[in-house]
Amino acid sequence: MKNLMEKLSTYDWGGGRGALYEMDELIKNTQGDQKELAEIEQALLEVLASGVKTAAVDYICRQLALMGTNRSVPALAKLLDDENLFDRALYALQAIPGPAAGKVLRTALGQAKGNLRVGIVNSLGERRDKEARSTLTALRGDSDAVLSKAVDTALRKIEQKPTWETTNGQA
Amino acid sequence: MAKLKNNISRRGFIGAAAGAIAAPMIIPASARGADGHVAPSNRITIAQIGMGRMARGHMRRLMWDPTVELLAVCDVDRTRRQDAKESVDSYRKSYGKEGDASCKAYNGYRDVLARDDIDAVVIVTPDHWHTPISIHAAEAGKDIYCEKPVSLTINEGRQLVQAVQRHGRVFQNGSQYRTRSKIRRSCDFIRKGGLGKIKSVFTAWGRIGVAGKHMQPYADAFNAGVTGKSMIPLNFALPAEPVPEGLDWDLWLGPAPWQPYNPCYHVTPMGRGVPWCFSDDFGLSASTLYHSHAAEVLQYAIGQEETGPVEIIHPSSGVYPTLSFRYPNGALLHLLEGNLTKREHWDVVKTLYGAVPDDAVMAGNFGGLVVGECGWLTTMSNAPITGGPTALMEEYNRPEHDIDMGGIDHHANWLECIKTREKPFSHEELGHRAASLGQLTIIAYKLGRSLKFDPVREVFPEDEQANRLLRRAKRAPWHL
Repeated sequence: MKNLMEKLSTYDWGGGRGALYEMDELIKNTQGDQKELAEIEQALLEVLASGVKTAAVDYICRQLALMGTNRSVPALAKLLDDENLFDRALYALQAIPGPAAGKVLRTALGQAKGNLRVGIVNSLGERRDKEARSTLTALRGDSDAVLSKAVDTALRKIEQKPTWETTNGQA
Repeated sequence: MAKLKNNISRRGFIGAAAGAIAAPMIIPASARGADGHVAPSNRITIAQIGMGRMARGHMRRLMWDPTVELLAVCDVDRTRRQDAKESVDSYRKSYGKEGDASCKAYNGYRDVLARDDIDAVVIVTPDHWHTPISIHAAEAGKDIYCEKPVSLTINEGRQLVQAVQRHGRVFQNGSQYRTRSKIRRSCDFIRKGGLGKIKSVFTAWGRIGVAGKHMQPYADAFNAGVTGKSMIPLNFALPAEPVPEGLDWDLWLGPAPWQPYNPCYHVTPMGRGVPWCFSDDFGLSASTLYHSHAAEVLQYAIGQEETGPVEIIHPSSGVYPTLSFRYPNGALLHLLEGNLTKREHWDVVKTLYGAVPDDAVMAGNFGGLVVGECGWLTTMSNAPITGGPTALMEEYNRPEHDIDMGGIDHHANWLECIKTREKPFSHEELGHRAASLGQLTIIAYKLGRSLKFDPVREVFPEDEQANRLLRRAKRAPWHL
């Protein structure tokens, strides 16, 4: 794994995907084993903390979306401050279950501007984050039309009953 | 069946167009609807969004249709949209669809959807745009024909279905084989019990293509010797190349994660399929190329077209030699490796599964093979329908099983439904369920293990890792 992480640390646009394919296989071969996944997660976070290029951040965030835990949330939260990387952070934060990711998103929403703010609203909606209801409701009708539309959509998702409930299970 | 909303208004088309084109001194009879022509004011007004590899077939089909007015073409590549506009205008000059307005070319699809004189849109973009544009089109009150697969993720597809139904739109999945007489006959024979209880179904799923000649300049990034083994699309970090003049690369990417321009995503190699579907961000690999066609045909044939499998059985389990699905009715669907256009490739059905006799002859694509307790039957294009035993085929060939779709093709079915507000053959739920089968395949290969799936709730019960793959974040400000 150390060898793979070294290759990942120099990964950039144009970089060979072969080494990362081995990493894909490594994660797959854990078959969901939490201990093995935790070791990989820790190694990925160390590479992320070393200040790698965007392509490597992108790859790491994709993997954390698949197997990241609360342990990854602080590192991902830091990426929200970078206008070139926040989309990658949201890719992972939206997918990581549990309250920590939701809390980070709700907190970040208060300070966020522009596309970051819209992206956080989108992610809270996709997470069906009921704790975000009041914050989102306060943003309804915002003068930023894109944000306002995103808020309406997110609130609809949070309030919406799943189709399988509304159709009495007739899929 | 409940009728869908109809907001097609007759807009006094000729009058509205007069500001854009010189009004003729005399309005010809054909423009007024005589001589079997459909008057412009009674035509369905359409915009086509996406003018790449698959676009020309749609455009030709629509241009020639006397009931259609192709008012707009849209693509983020200026050259493509201008070429398309000139083709439409040239056709009008040459063949005189009198009374037509000039076709207008757009970069952004939002500008197309904002036009209240457009009834419907045909979406022929890369896969990552299918759901967002479909949802926005539904919100704008447009009816929709969308290329398959309709979505990148299962959750996206469900949101598409909900939006189409919430806004009462007519939606046709671009799975045109479903509308062919030959395929309908085969499917209906199976649906009516011609094979008895269904035992197993076979179709194809191949590895990603990353070794094309046009990819050679980027061979180091692709690492085809390693990544070419992948059964699922991957994200590559292809090197940055100059964005061609006139291409709006940021809008091409849209909701996908940002990455630099590379021609392997955008430039269609001669004689090859869509260029981008090897990428996890833009397509679904085999599902994009052929499997979503097969999925819709086969799920329809076995009467499971509005549900999905309850179990995905990975070959690592040792239960079956290839990735397999179990449906609520007990039928098994097995994926065979490759694009099975060659007859001999189908022999794996005999060698791996022993599901048909040694002398069975099978060929074709965009469908598959269905085996029941009374016999077997193919339901594929590009080859004759075959089956056995002899007595079953004698029954199959009886004239009472004939189905003649006449002049009704997939587009015609959609256009008719726009008028009647009925559900088309490949409506939104069927398109979603066909795409879902490809998405379930990708999830099982990605995780390398078997999965349980609840096709009603559309979740993997007690499988938190698999459930993460039901959806993915969009690049802001895009959202569904």
